Amino acid sequence: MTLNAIIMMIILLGIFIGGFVVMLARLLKQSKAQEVEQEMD
Amino acid sequence: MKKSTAGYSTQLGLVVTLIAGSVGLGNIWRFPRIAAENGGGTFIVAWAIMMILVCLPIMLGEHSMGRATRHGLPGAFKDFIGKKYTWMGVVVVITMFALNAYYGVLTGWVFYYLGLSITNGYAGADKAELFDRISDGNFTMVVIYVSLITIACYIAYKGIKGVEKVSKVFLPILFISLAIVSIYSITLPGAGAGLNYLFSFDPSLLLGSKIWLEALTQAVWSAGAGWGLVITLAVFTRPKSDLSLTTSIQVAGDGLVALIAGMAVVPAVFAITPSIEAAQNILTQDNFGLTFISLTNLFEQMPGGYIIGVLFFLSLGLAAFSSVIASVMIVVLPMADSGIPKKKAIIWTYLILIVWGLPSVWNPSFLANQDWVVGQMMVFGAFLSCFALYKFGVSKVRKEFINNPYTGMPIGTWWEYSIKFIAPIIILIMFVWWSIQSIGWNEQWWNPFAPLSLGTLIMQGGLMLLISIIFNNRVSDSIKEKYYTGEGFPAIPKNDYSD
Repeated sequence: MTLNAIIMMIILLGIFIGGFVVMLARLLKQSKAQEVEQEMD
Repeated sequence: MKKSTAGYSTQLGLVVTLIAGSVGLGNIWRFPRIAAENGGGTFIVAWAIMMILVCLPIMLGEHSMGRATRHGLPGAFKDFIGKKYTWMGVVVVITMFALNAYYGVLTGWVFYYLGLSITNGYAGADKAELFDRISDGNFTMVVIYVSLITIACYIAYKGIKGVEKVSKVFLPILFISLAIVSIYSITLPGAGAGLNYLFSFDPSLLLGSKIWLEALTQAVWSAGAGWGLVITLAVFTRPKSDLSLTTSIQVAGDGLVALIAGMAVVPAVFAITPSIEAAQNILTQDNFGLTFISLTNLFEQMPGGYIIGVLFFLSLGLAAFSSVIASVMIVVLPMADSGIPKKKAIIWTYLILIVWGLPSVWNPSFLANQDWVVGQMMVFGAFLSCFALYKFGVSKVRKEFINNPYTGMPIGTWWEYSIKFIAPIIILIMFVWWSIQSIGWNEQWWNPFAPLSLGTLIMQGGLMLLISIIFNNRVSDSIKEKYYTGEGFPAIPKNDYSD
């Protein structure tokens, strides 16, 4: 593989996997907070 | 007070259902081929930009429409921008009936090949002849198609909770199967050449117009913008769930599946074929040729090809079938809005899909014709969504709906510019570009009965529009309930599909 392709692969996978995982983690945290809030209600 | 159980069980359930609905054949069999054909990494950059610049904004807007109006497509357009625009929702519903009818057949082909993979049924066979036999007048395919539509309608009958449950099973299996195929593929000797081909970046290619149009086409047809999926699935979201975060995860998840599919297909093709030219020839075939003829040949030749073939067709089948299930929801929900009882609505949907789909099962030219017409009408649907958001007021949508008090990811004014200018203009260019392209495919481009002609698009698209406009008032009057009061998101209405 050329350096160009390796760098591109790391950037693109980093953006998509990283973005997906970070946003999903945030959503799960939010859901948990909402559950607690609902239980308190 | 009794706790409301309407809608998705959790925010995660919503996200999983959205991703399962939008991930389909386009991600797995179209993306790797189009990416490889159009400059690999350069194409992927252009496609990612189009996903963020065009698809994400439209889907954020559609999510707002569904959640604010709590209606299926015609009711959503009616309550959002007025009674005289109900036809816009109707035309997308008709398009989705047409889509389900041929997409169900494509899904059937995939399940046929899954069966062949499990039983080693394509080993030693002439793959091109085998595919012709399956796609042209095959009785087993009739049985498979009818079975798939029956199951999809049954799941839709169970309402959004049924769709959510199935998505929660399908999506992880799809992800894991595809990831295994991908890891196996990139570890094959010679796979590096494929990865090189898939990820090489040449900025000068970004100056051409074709790469952008192909990138936009891939993004729109695969992500789920403009065909009512997001409007429909958003009807059942809780008022407090984070709209911008869930939609962004949907777009990222859809893109991720496409990338993994690219890494599953392209390196394997390069690793198994004897030369780079041969690999390029395989990747420049059409979707069917690549998936059902070339890849089955490759699975037969590669070590461990049996299990890889099974996993590949399993992930492809689940991706396609989850989209069919979500699309059935798109067409049955408007019937509930119009007061048609659940059982009756499902039976009507079922009968229409069987009658509309059988010609595609029997005749591949009919299927190709429907694919062409529906593809363009979906682009038109994306334009209608932009129009509705513009007419309602993009600033109001962004401030009141998208950036509601429960969002953890506020969206800036760039969204308004995208919906007002960028997305509709680019979409219009895409529609015209494909229409002009079609003139070159066929000498009789004007003939309304030629499968891939501009004439057939004008005739069928015109007919869909005409029917929608004629029935505008009738459909509009049949939708009695109005949930949107002008402020915030109403609670999820209790209907046949929300529990």
